[in-house]
Amino acid sequence: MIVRAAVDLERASESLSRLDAAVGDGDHGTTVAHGFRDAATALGNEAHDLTDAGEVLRRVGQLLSSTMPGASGALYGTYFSSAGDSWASGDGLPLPRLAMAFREASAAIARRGRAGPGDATMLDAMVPFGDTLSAVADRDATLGAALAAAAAAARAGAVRTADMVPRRGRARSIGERALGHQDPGATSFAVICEAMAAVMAEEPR
Amino acid sequence: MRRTCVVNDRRRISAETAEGYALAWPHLVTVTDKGHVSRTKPKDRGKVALAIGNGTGHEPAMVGLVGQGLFDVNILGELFAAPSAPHLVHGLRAADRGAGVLLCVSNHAGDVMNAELALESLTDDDPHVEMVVLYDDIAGAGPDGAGERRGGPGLLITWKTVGAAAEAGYDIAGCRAIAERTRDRTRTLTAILDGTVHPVSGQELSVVPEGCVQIGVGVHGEVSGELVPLTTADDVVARMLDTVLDELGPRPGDRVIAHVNDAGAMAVAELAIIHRCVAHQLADRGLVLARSWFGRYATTWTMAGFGLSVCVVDDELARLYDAPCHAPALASQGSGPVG
Repeated sequence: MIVRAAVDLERASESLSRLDAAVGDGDHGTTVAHGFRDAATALGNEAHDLTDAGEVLRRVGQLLSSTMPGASGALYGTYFSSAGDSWASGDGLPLPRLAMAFREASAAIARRGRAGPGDATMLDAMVPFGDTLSAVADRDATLGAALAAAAAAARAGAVRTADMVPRRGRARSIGERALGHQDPGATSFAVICEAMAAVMAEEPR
Repeated sequence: MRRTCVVNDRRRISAETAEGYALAWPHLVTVTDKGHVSRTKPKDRGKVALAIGNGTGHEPAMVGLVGQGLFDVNILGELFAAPSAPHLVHGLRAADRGAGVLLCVSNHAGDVMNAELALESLTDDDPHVEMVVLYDDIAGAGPDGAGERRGGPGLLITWKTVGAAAEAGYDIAGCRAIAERTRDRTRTLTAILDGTVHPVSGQELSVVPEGCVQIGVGVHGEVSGELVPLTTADDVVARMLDTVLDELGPRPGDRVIAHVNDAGAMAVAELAIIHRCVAHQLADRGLVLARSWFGRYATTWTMAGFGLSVCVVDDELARLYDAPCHAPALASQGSGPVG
């Protein structure tokens, strides 16, 4: 899944950087694309128990926090590490457990980045993603269907950031001038969710 | 706006920048095996080590500011991006001289988050590390939002005083107090006439119409102030100083330190002329100019702009500011830079 995320991010990197140029310094696309690619390569060279989602998520978080400098590394690292920690300390059926893990991860991001919903940050895509996963989990859905629905919610959340005045990060100083531009972090997160959903859709599980 | 850059592999910009400095000034700085830039001749043991982690692209800050009287180590990130937390931890551990490490953190989201993550991951076996968050740029947030303000070129004044304090043997609490006091007495405003291109993404950072000056630009090109027609140096400086001093509120007779910083692509003569305006206008307002320098201290690649920084000093800060320092980009002795 990380490999697919890396590929999709590479393709999206040009448009992500353009978004970032409008509200920041234009490097978000390459930062996340390279970060995910390096993490995917490293992960591929390591031996992991792929049935232990907690271990894999934690390792992904660790890798991302060192392959991506700047705010992206701190945030994506925190997101996946927290998800891994939460999975490890949870139990029950996979889907609700995963939903809880990603909801805890969003909360960790809110604390780390001192942000809330509506600030025009990646949280505005992460919260809908986690909430939708939880909602769908209750309805006895398959993992593939759940991820697809949640990814769509993440994408919708990212699109909505264009109507928000940024209150965190570099875009904050742009203020109203940022209106009409989607937040790059929320958008890259949507790409990652779509990649996860696409991989699940291709696997019969 | 120049769109091309003289670089090699764009992913190695930070590493090659550091190496370039170390090869030019090997007696002053060395690149460690983790890619950090540290003092070749370490500070005496028993003194507080001063560390900073930042992205490249702002040279000479801060690769060129590693040396006696300034930083013990610059833990490098990538271009315009703060180093990751694991990277910071390596650098902080290596920097300790037995009296703890003070990490200066510019108030940018990535810098602060990675520093917090790094400090959270230190254990009891690690040296004692504290962080102090620094900011001086008044563009982008009003005085009530001081906690949201970013770091700009005026941080050099703080780095100079805290660097001197550490060299003089102040303990970590004393060093932090000096850093915070200098920070709280310093304000900066930067104006640009042309943006710069991001060497990795190729995107233009800030575009300014011909004949205009954009007042209120951050160190990564964030625009948040006003766009006005460019008239004379006196006019632009007056406008900028009004804003800066309005907030600082110095009284006649107060001593101040002023810096004029080149954001990357000014003519040196322009800086000298701007500096002359600053010196005269500060005197016109009854302020005593203790020290004032102009130069290229903290750039944004090749942005054509300049920053004005003013610090209202007290006796202790003025004395610390005058302490000698010796780094690749700044060697000073008393009243001003030498060479």
